[in-house]
Amino acid sequence: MATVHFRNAVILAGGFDLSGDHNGITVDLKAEMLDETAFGDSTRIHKGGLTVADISGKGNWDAAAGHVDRILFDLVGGDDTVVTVFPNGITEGTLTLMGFSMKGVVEHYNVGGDVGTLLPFDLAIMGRGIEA
Amino acid sequence: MILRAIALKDARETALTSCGSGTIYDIGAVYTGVKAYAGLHILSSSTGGLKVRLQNSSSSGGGGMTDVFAFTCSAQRTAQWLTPLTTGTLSSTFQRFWRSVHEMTTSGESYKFVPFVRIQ
Repeated sequence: MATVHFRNAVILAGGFDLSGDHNGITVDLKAEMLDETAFGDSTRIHKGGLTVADISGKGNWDAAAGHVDRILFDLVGGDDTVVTVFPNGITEGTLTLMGFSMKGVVEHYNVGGDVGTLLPFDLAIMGRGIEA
Repeated sequence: MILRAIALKDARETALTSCGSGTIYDIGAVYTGVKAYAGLHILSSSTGGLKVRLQNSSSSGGGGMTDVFAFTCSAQRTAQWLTPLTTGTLSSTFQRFWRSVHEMTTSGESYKFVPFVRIQ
């Protein structure tokens, strides 16, 4: 696997393919940092804490059936939306170009922009942190 | 938590209109200490219902395929995420070759869908 010309992301949310509505997507996996520093230490000592995952996206707003506005408006605040992102199309059975999937809750869905531009939207989905 | 998803079938662009099974892939076996996760996106619906199962086998040729995950039959656009399985909840472990199987309740239906699995 080499570098990726990022132009073919696949974004699935629930029963919808929202890839064509997006022009940006970010998968963010991070761990909370616990401060384990004690007297006598000469550096800050960090210890890994709980992990947090979220997915954020942006694109051009579309209110037609099957597009982003019809879907996301109703999902805000609801638990357990299954979201899957494949960074470069879908290749069946691959272990080198896997997607990212989680159950999440749509934390925000924003619409708004400046005059003369395509009306943009952005969203954030926070991982529920549960297995089932 | 977030999974690294391995698609077992990519039926997004062209809807499938008959029952069948996907290609067999070497995804990996469920060993002690790891879990098998499975999810499904149904991206277009029909009047009847779509039922998807994920099977595995110790043979790359498909002999002895057994059901591991069975998604709920659905006639609607939806997504499902099943309870993960461990060596304690699997009847057959150490079987590394996986495929998806799809069935439609009546003829003439068509569905677009993407099932995925991950051992981690």
